[in-house]
Amino acid sequence: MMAHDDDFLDSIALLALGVLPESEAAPLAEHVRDCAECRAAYADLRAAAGLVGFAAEAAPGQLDELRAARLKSRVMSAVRGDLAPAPSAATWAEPRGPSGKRSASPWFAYLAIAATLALAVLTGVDDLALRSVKARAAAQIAILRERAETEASVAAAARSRARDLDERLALLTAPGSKYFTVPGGEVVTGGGRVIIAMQHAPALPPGKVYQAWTLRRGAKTVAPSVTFAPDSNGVTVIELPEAAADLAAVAVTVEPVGGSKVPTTTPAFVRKLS
Amino acid sequence: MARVCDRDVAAFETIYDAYHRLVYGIAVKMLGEPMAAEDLTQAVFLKVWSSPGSFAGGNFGAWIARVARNRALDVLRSRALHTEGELPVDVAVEGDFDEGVLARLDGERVRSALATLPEEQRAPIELGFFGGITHEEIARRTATPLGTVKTRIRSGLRKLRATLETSAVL
Repeated sequence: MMAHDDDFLDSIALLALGVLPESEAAPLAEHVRDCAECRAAYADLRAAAGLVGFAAEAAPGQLDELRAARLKSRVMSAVRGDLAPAPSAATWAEPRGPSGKRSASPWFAYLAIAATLALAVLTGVDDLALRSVKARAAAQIAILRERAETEASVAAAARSRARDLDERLALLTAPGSKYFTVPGGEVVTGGGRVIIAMQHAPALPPGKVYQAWTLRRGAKTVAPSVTFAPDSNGVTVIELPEAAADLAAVAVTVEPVGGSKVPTTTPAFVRKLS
Repeated sequence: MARVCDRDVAAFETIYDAYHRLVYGIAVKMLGEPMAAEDLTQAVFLKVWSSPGSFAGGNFGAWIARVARNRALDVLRSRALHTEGELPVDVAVEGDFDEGVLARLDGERVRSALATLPEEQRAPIELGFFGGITHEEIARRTATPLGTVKTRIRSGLRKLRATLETSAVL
């Protein structure tokens, strides 16, 4: 029987916030499941604790339009293609333990839990103790399963991003591609596609993005194309949505986040595609 | 969410539009890298799509915030960045917890309510939620006695709930 003093109720608040180490959280959660008074206290605090996450909701400046559009495109492509990853043993990355060494596969943890249960049965522990072991094992398995799913999902997302980049990089080195030098990089056409690859793009001031402009064959004015920002190393590999065969020239300017309808600054470059 | 259970892509997109900034914000705050935060955001929403039944009711924002936090904790574990002490674990006690009026709250009201907490209560709560550390590590980092940290977290959560309940019915 646990004493329901202030210190104990403080611990329930820590459980609700999710800041207890596993060794303390599991037995306390087990008690909360069986104790109506503690379950009520936990439920009150848990609901409030979950809302703390709203403090980190990204402001528009923190998640710019380009990144937001790219992220949404990745998620919706996976959903529409029903590519939500199904965790499989073959694709699970091995989690690393706190020491930095690779920890054992989640399956070893499952086996260890199963062995504990079997041992408890074989050694004839009483029902109450067995129920306690089973409850802890179930909680442990749920945690391990979540961790394994996270590893698989994050790895799948990284692979998806790498595939996109690989496709663009393959075009950069394809035999039929044409290369047009621009300050800090190149415009590359091939397979009907247009890619701007910049290795040394100057960093942008806050609230600004690069914007590509395209001049269609026969047109007299440029049309707005995609906006983009280089990574922290000044590298950009961005594909334009327009078909290469339709374009006579490409330009890039610095514009406010969200892009402009007409260029508002002197172009970083204007390049004829011929 | 009922429509997402029926594989309604448009319903899923509505949920994505409403909550992607919340999930990304938590991810980038905990992981510190935009690209890793993008990967985690994608993983969380694909989890919503593949297992919509995981949401058992209540405030959806609070639920998905916890999913994002727990996945970020898993990533931190896999990075082995936390060599000092244990990482916390979020053990949810299953049950039919009615969140009542809290289920209807949005981010703006929650942030306003958090801002009303005394700094000494708000800081350990936010450090605990986003820092991926245990209460003992919070005490060590803030040079505050362990018992004081525990009491401030409990008092802060109780005050937050009371403020939110008042805010929700106004």
